[in-house]
Amino acid sequence: MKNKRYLIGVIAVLLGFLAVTQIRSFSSVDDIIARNNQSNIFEEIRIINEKNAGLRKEIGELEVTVDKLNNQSSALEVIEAEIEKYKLLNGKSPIFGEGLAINIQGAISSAWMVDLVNEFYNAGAYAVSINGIRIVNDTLGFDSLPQGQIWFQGQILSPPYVFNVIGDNESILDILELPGGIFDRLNTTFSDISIAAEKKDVVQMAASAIDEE
Amino acid sequence: MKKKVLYTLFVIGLVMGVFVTWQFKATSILSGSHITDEVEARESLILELLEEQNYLQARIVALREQVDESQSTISNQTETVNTSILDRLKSEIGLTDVDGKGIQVILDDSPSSNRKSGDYEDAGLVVAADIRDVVNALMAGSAKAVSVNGQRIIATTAISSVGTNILINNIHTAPPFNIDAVGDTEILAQRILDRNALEELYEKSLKSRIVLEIYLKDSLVIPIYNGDLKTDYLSLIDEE
Repeated sequence: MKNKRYLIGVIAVLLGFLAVTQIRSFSSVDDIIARNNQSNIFEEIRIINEKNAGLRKEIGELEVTVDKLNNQSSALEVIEAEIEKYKLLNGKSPIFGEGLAINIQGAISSAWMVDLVNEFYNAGAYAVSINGIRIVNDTLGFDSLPQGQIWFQGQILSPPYVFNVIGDNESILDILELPGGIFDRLNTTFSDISIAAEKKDVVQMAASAIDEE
Repeated sequence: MKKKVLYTLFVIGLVMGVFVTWQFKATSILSGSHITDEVEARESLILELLEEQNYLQARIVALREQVDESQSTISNQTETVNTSILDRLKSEIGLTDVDGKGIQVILDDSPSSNRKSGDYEDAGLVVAADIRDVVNALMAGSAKAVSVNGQRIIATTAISSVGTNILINNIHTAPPFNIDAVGDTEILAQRILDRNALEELYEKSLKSRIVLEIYLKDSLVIPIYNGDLKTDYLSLIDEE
């Protein structure tokens, strides 16, 4: 009888150990995967293939540029074209294009704001603005204030967060709305937020207000 | 009484069986030959694509150097061409090197973790969110330029996890992750040492033993962006 009691004790301890191990392993897994979009091997190959295609296209354009620069009659034209192209990217000029308007009601953390913006670019965004502030190379990062608000470019970002995204609105939205995608994960993490995304033929972005040194 | 004990033992045994099964089910994906085949296939295919990627990036850098040289020659030969606007624009979009004092943050997987196992649930692996958090903290500290393993971070940079692999600007990169930032060393260091701002990272460093090292540098060079610059969907609004 005594032996049986010992046996029950050992089994109970073992059971407790297993239960704790299991719960801990699940909670740590949740912590890790919540902020990370896990794609499969095919997705990885697709992304790298697309990137390589983009790089090849860039090489083709640069080769044409080099050729034209070596020809006096077309050199000026190439320089003008380059200036126009870079003005689209530096954020100092207002731009427009097809895209999305995304409205998030309810507060999210600065870490998730970083993830969300990252996911816009990952999905193929060409330009992004948040509550009217366009993100450019000089844009400062997101900061958390003690009350949980987000500090961004010298101001508090308050909900609703309005994101304008320029790019192929169809494919970007498809990626954002994937099961397990960023919208899904945001909704799981912040139960009291609502996300509305609308495709737009024209999205406008003002010039960045960052002062030049 | 005997029956009661046996009944209790039976129930406990049953529950334990469920837990054991649950536990084995959670880890069984790592064993078995299917996953090994997938990892091998992935590695060989990815390797081929990465070799091409390295070549293409190097070619882009070489061509941009040629463009710079040609533009500089034209500017010197012709009074009508002033390339200073072009130079400023290039600097603003990451097409010029940035050097100066700065900070280097090294993130690496825990020594007990194996990235090649394909187990993306391993808490000892550095994930994209860890790198994003460090880059964001450095940008919040007014870094003039940031790079991760030589990949220049620009406005449109995405840092993402694909399985256990990490892509920066959609370019595959492997640990250790050297995150370099040029800027005010003191402010940058404060940002990275702020445990509240990088709570998750410090927790992972403590619990899962991922490597987090910080070095102040008198001299760092952040290379030019060596990827493609896409503008297809963008148009300028005429301000006149």
